[in-house]
Amino acid sequence: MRKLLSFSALGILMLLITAEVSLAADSPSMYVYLPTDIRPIAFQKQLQSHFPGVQVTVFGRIRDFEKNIKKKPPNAVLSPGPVVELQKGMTSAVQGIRAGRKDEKYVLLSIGGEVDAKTVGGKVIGILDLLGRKRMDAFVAKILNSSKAPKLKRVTRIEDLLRVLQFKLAQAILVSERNAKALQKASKLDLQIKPVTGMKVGLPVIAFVKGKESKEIVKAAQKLKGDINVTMGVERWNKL
Amino acid sequence: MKLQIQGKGTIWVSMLALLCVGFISTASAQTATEVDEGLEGVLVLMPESETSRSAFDGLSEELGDEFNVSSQIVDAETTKVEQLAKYISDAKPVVVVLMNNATVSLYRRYQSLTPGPYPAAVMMLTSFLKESSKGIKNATGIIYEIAGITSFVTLRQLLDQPVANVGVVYRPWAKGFVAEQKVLAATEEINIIGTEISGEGNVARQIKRAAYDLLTEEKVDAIWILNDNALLKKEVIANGWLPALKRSSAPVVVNVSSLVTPKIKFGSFAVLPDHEQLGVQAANIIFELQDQDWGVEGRSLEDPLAVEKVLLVDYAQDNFKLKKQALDQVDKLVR
Repeated sequence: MRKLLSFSALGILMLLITAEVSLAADSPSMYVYLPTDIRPIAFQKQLQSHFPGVQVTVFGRIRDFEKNIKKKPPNAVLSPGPVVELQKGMTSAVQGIRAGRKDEKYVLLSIGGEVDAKTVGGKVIGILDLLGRKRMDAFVAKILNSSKAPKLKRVTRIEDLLRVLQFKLAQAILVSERNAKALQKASKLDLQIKPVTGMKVGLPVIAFVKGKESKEIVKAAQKLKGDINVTMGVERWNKL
Repeated sequence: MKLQIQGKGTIWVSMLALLCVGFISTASAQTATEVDEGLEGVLVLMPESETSRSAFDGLSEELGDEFNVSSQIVDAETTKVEQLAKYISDAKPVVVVLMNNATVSLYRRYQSLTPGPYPAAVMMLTSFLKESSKGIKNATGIIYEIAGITSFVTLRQLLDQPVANVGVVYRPWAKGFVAEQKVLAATEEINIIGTEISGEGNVARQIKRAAYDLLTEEKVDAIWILNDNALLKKEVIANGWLPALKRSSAPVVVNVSSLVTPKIKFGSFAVLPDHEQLGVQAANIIFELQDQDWGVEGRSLEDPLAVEKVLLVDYAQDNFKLKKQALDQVDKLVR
């Protein structure tokens, strides 16, 4: 009898697991690669609470993000504009907006005195490795609007950029104006901001893999407000 | 993960997980050792350990398909210099990556016995690298110790209370290190107040007095514990640190994860090297060396850029003023 009960319990458990797996397979998925000042796991938890019924996975590095898109394509991705533009077969559906704009300015942040974009050619500047090594030179050249490329000291987290300056590993760091202000607040170094005149960088976008659009994700994104938007550097989300 | 049903039907999901991990590890090792004749070689000389494996993963992933990355295990006890020389002559690398003190020592012997030129060397996971790498030619690397400035600024980011004066107790050998850290920390307006002890005789008593004075007379905002084995012996912690810290609620910053534990009131916040990211940082140094035609001229050792944060969370919530979202910035919350 006990054996029978054991088998029954095992059967029920297997059914429950199968049901859960099947439910998970049915629910839409969203991969996120968006460097923030909080840990990917904490960010995932926060996002998940705003996207009920969606399987949210946050990646800390673009390499892992792109590898997983190829391995198991999600329904949607959430990433800064330039990252989304690189992903093939995706259509942007919801755009993050701040101060009425869908992109943001970048600046050079340095210690003691302003550093001009015209003077960094051939020198080392620090940058968040948003797109992966091979694509960063061209990306930086567009932002700086400069023909003479600097050498790049790439880091994977925003907070690491401050260390690049503290340890004098670069003459300046190239960073969004928003993050530059956050770093100024975090540090007592005499950090100077010098705007650059080149390309502005796209704010976060949600894009769908062709044929895998999800109304649930669009609706949930449009409802986002408060701290989660602050974390992502946007004020609201517009359907495109 | 182990699922147990009525004490009898035990499903060892962990077995499956282990099999998967084994498969992934094997696959990644194979990828790392596949040889593409057109690519330059990077030889990683490393001990068999979890930390070196993490660093290797970060390094080989970042170097991707641009180099032939291979690895050889170096055992502190059994690997001879002749074996190391064979590893290098077989691989003919443009860069050797040396992980840990024993490997760096062995490589120094290799250089002393072998005529150059030597490939560029990137050293990492090596304690007090500045001292331990003296005399090694064509080498650069990443310091293993987390700089005080990194620990303190990270702590300041989490707290809504001052982190302006930090006390540290040290033995004479660490005088130079503390002096360097003092200069760096001052750039962030953090004052390191150091108390030197002889470290001979009753070390616990010396620590007890020094730490107590730092907390009560100097009124430091935090205490920083150096990774000095003599200051971290069980008996020294029990009879030196713990009595001195008993009545204090100041954060105690350590650089060893195991010292942040609810079992004893000692380390409340740890800042540690992120080993995988150290591997990525080493890979970036290799790309930079490639741009410099494999010479290390003009380079100095780098400090670790990416760190892991560990917080004794219940204690911190009871004793510190934490900023909003502070816990979301911490990698590991110890309860």
